[in-house]
Amino acid sequence: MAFVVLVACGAAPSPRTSTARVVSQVVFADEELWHLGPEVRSRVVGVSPMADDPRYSDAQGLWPDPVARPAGAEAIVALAPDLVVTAEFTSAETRAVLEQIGIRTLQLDGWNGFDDYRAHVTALAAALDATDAGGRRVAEFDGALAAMRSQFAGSDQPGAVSWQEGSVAGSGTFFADAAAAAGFVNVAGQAGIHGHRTVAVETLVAWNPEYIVIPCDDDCTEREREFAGRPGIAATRAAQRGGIVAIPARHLYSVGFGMLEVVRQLGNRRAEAQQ
Amino acid sequence: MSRARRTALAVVVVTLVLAALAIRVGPGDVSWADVVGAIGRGLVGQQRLADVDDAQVWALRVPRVMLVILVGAALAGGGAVTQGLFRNPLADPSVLGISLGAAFVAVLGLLLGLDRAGIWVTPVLAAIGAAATLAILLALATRSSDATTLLLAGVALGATCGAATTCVLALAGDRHDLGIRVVRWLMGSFEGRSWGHLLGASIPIGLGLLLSGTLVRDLDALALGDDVAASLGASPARVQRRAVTAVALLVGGATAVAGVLGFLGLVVPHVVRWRLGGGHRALVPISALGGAAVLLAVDTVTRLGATALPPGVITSLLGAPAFLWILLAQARRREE
Repeated sequence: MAFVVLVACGAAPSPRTSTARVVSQVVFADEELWHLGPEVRSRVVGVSPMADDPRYSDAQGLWPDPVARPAGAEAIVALAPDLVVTAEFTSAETRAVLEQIGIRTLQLDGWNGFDDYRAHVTALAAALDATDAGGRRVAEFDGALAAMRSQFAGSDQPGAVSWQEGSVAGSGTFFADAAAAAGFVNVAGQAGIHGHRTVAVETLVAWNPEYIVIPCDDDCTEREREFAGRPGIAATRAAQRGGIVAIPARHLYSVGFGMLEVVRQLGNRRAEAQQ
Repeated sequence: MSRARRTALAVVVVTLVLAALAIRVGPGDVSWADVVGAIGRGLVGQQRLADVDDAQVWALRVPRVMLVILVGAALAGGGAVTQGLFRNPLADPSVLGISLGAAFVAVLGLLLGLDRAGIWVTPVLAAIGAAATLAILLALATRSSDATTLLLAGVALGATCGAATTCVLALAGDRHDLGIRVVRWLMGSFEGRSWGHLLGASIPIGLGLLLSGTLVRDLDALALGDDVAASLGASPARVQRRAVTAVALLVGGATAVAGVLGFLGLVVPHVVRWRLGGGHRALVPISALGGAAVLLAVDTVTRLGATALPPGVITSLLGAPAFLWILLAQARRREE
């Protein structure tokens, strides 16, 4: 469930004039503000410092240099924004300063699945008076998702685990939704884990899933090979049958459109295995 | 049979029972028969590669248990030698800066992404860091035979390495995955460790334990003062260099494979000294045995939880109040 906090200070002018200068401090918003169209883009004066980092962002290379990458409250305030997009993980000090100064913030909280994606796009678009663009974006997401669900539907549902250095994604996560859309059972969720939790390698081996999904940078094939040979992991069905799937971290941990890439890659690997 | 021998025997029995339990318990449905079968097949090199029970027992639990025993012995044995070297029961192997030197180079490797080349990379880098710190310490020990100078040099070296590690983390502040990896490594863990780690650690730790064994008479002589030690044939400068080398091999080897594990090297020798006295002939080997048993108990308990809790967290969490309790109990006894 998503929680959107809109903190408005002073008299509320029309939405268009109150959101003439927008700063994003969230990679999700860096991505979505671009895709809400040229009119919204023209109002963005700053995106998060991680916008161009290929490890985390699908927005790398999109925003031209004149759009600032402010880090910290001082740099944000210097841009004289009238809306700053933050999240629960934005530093508390930065949020407090923005609130004290009276800068309006849109805080996006709750990152637990596809419903939160839809809610955040809708809230972002509404805060920018671009409701129609937001609706189109959500429809585009749902359309692509429905097409993949249909493509990857099947009677068998192999088990998959998302694993990053011991941390697994249980129910109530974006991975859970992505795995279900690609026709998989999220084994960690089935084991009663909710959210993200650290478990032992022994636990992963005992689950013995058909697929283990791991993050990679630009070395995905090598990562799959290295991980498949690890002690204990080597005995799992995933390692024995080519079920180690390395997906670029910017997609695997995306809370935006990049999630669809996870669905596509998972579904394709399953389809390849069935052939 | 002397009290020290009885204690040693009891600790060995406890360790063996704990080891058997540690191999049997954990996730999955592994029976005693599975354990015996997997170990038997492993010993003759015929383990079933695609069998998860065999993998659990032979690839993960057996080497992990042996590694925990080795690391526990290294840290507590290293603690006993450190306390003998500085003639101070409050000294801890970490005062020489070895673990922080190991941590700095390991974190540098994580920053550069070298760990992605394989699970052996971080332990190797940590061993290089420990060896470099040892080289600096030995150079200092050659220049001055004063234990206080060595102690302060170790503290300064550790502080420098700690600050450098913090600097590396600050420079990579936007890399959240790095922060997670570094914190996990610094917390100290045996997660995913296997035969490669055991083999890698057994060489420096084995050498360190052997060297410690040859030091016990000299440490006893050193406890009587430099002049008395020298008159008994134990040159303080030579003992110091050998002791520093032993501690560095023990702590460096342990830190390289398991990360930073706090308090074991301080508390265990302290308890042994409290119960058996300060003679190093009993103190060093029984501390090593006790460290193995304590760390094995802690690691086994952490493995039973639903969330994988690093044993380093538990040793620090329990070690500090346990140490306080021991100090208060000793003070009470002195007053009586």
